Amino acid sequence: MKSLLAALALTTALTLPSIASARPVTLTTTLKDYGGNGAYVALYVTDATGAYAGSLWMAGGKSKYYQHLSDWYRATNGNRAEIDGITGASVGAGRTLKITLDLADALFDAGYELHIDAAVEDMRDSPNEVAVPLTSAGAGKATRGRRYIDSFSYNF
Amino acid sequence: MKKTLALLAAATALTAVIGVSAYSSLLGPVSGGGNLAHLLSGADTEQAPVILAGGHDDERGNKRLRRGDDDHGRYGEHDDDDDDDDDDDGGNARGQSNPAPAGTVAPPKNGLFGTGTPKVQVN
Repeated sequence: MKSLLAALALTTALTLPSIASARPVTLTTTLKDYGGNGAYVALYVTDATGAYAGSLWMAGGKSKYYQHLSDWYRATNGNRAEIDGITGASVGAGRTLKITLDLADALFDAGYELHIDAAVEDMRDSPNEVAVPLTSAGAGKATRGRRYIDSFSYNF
Repeated sequence: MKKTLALLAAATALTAVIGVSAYSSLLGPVSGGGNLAHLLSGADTEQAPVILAGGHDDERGNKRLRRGDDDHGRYGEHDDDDDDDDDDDGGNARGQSNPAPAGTVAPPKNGLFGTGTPKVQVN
């Protein structure tokens, strides 16, 4: 009985941190009415040194266009494994893309930055359209984009 | 003399055929058949301009996403389904296929994600 309880306590202790180490985070990206076709949008994260840490979402499913998300492409070499399971449709002008992801707590208040590259057919590419530090204090605050993105925010 | 003229005419015709073929191949596939009459008539002016795939401008931020020659519709959220049907080449020029859509496989194990499934909504 004691060994059973000990095993239970051990598994609980091992399980709890993994549950607590991630939380749902909603990333909201609203596009401007730029008067063009749907935008390809890449959301990805760099660490405190500025090095690429990983992708959070890819809006747009055709890999042949990814080279136009140039900062993301340079960091990943267009590797589809970086975005398998986190890819959706491109986003139309004036529309709002709302993604809820289970993100590691370690991403916040640790120097990580979220970046967004955007590209629209027959219009200028827009790498690093948004760059925003991931902090607890920054949650809920809107950041404006440079060309196609009207605003971006994240919420816990 | 007649023989010379005939040879000259034949050579001119042959040159014209070769020249038009080379011009057509430079332009790439043209919807509507791409023949000489079609090119000269200026048909398809309402279609999107012929785009050379993979074209690059030099200046950073001055590049433009342009549909590939193999597409028959403009890409975008509203016509992605149609595009997918005629885009079974699957990927980019480097032979890389398209990524797995959200919900079909787990997100990458890059240390950024927990165990939850991504949810997406477009308004």
